[in-house]
Amino acid sequence: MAMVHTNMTLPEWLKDLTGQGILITDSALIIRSWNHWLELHSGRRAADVLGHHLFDIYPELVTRRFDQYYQQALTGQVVMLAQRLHHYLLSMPVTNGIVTFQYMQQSARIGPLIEGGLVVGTTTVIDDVTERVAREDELSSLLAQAQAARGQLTFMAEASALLSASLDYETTLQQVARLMLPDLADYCLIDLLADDGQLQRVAMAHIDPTKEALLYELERRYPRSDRGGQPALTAIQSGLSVLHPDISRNGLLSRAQDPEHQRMLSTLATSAVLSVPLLTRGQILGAITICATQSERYTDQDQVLVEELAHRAAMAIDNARLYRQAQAALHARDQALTIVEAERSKLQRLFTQAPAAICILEGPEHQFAFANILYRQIVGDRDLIGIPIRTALPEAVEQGLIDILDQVYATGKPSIHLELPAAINKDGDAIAETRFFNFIYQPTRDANRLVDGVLIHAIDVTDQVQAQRERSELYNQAEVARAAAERAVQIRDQFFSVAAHELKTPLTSLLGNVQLIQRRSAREGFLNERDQRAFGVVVAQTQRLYQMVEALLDVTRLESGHLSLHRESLDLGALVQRIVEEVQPTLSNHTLIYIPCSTALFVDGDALRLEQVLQNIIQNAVKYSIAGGDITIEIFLRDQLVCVSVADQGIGIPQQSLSQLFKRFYRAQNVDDKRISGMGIGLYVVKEIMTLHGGSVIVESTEGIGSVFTICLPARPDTVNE
Amino acid sequence: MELTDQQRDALTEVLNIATARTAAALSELSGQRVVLDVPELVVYPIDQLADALSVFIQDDIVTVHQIFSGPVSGDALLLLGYYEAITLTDLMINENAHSKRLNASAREVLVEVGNILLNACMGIFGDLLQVRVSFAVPRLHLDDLTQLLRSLTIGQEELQYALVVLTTFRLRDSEVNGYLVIILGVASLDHLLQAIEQLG
Repeated sequence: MAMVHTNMTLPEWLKDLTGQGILITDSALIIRSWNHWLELHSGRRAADVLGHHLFDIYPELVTRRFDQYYQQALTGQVVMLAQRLHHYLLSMPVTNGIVTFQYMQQSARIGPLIEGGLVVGTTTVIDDVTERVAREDELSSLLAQAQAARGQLTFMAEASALLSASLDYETTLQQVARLMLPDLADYCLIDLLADDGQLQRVAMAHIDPTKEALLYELERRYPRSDRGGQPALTAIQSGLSVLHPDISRNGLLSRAQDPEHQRMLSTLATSAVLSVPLLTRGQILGAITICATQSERYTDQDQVLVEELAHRAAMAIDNARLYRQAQAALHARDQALTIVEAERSKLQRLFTQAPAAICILEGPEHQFAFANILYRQIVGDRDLIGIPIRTALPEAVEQGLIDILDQVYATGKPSIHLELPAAINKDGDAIAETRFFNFIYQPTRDANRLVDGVLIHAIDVTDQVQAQRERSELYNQAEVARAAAERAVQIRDQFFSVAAHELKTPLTSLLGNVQLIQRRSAREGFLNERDQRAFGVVVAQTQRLYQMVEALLDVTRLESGHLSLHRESLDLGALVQRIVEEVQPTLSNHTLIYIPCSTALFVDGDALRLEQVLQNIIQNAVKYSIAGGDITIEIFLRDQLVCVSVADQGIGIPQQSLSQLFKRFYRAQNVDDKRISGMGIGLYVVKEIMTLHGGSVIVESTEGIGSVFTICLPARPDTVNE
Repeated sequence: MELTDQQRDALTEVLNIATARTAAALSELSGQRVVLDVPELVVYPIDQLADALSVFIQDDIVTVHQIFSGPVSGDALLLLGYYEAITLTDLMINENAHSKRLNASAREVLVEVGNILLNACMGIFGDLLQVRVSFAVPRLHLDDLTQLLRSLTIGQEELQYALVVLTTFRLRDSEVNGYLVIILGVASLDHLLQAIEQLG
């Protein structure tokens, strides 16, 4: 401060400077100088203040504690007074209680007045900053607007960045809700419309963490209840923003469900609600609801801002959902492809490992599309895939395979060829090997059911064919052998027949002559007793030989069908009795017991042949009961059949021999050939004769106990009627 | 240049009172409790001062600078970060507006606040030590610190060392930290120490 002046008054030129107010006091704070500016702006003339104590004129300087600054100034300190803090230093005087204007905007500086290094008073310099303040206020208002605009831009940019940063929109929406705080809302709720048309709360944020917990608690306890959620619903239904600028406390609490709910709503103290629909592509996805505890908080500008944000959020959600759908679709497709691929490879494996030769030919040129291991083995290790069969397997052309394939391809009808020989060049050398296949040519069809290829399915039946051939060869050999055997039997039978006839002629003659000699000797007595006995043996043996030849002849007759019956009505009981009486005298160890029937039993039969049958059975009973004993012969009528049974106490017949018993030349296994002679034709003849009579012969036997042979013949009607 | 332990203790004691008065003034102005650290006394060669101080404030810096002269002469500086200066200003004028810059009015407020704090601190010389010091009008600097310090030392040959009274004050509720720096030449420092010894 260079305002050193002995009488503490300012020079006139300085007084008239209108830029600043200059006030000078002495060390006792008596006003010594009061310039023109002060006169103009304080409403006091210099004459009225000079010589007065500063605080007398302006007592409020003391009450406003500016006195300390003057004290400091007197110690040499300089004090600056800012308009912002104090607005003014000197006020306007009050006249008649009327103040034109109370003060102007002032900033001031209070400092010491120094003379000769000593503080002799104070200087106060006052600036009028009204204009500056007005300008600054205007500027700061503009700045505030610009800042708000910039804030909105920043907010939008942040929100956009958030929304585009992630496809996880649930998390993003939570961040968006938080972004609203505290500039736009005290708390923010975001609801999305679920598939079932219900609102689903996806994000909640409150500036106060404890109240945020309260929001969650509200959601948990009173889900879908009305916590300012109503505007969201309205916004979603109408597609328009809903603003409740001033919600009364009573209105708010009246919606509470119970006192606890009321307490919670009261704690939130919502006064203003703005709910904006999340709208995109003409579709409403949900709503963003911002709430404030201060009523009339929301301006049109806020609404525009939130609507813009909601639009972006909706787009982001929509994008995310579309992306998820696309992802899901992609995933599903991948899965389907995986399954298809797995199925395909499984099928291919199946085809490849199938125990049949399989190949697939494509197109009219029959290019190989697939050939399994077996098929490749069959055709030799040649390049097949992608090559027309004509080129890959030249031998197929001669074999007529191409024609078959062409036909199947053209008609779409499968073709089957069994045991087809195919000359196969298996080792790739010049030697072709013939193998047999059952070929199935199956047309393959594309998705439109059009034939697009031929599947050849060939089963190698070479082994079967060969086996079949061997089998038929063997069969032929057997046939030849059988024919030869039959022929041999025929020759044998012929031989028997011829032999029997040829033998019978001399035997008949021989037997007739020896019997003649025997009778003559008996009559004339020219043989002594010894010769008679020897001659008796000759006759007996000749008779036996004759019988044997006769039996053989019977056999040959039966075989050739030449045995004929001379049937007449016959009393079978009389016949049996006669035979028993004839046979009994010839037996020494055996007793024949005949049990006749009370009535005569008549049959139609050949007496000679039936006698032969009975003789045979009785002789057998004698022959096979070496130890002797009773032989019981019984005749009876049963079921219109006349039956004769012959039961012995002999060696019996083994079970396994029973079925063979009536075959020619068969003798039971327990027969000692050396002790019991026979040709094995007797029972054969018995059975054949009984069959010719329309009757039957049955045998029951237990080995070691005895046998029962029973012959049955149809009874004559007169017998039965009787 | 080194201070003896005794000198250091005495000086710290005096400056403790001074900063306490500063804090009281600030508390009165802001209506908030002010937390003050015990001042730290460091003597730096002047050319290392900028580096030493830049450790504390990295941002743009706002300095209220008041030159004092007399038997003890030097520079008193209130250092604030730019945004802390704005916060402090907003606090003083009790406006809710969150300013982003310091306009003329805000600068005036800052000057007045700095002026009061520096006066409270430097008043100790007059009140306690009976050393007559006169003050120049306080100025606000928005330059960076190096520039300011260079301007201080130009033409001041004897300003070889600086006593830095480093104290941090924190407005309890608003995270405003500031530093008080007093730069004295060697001669002034001698005078100051003598005065303190007489007091003791």
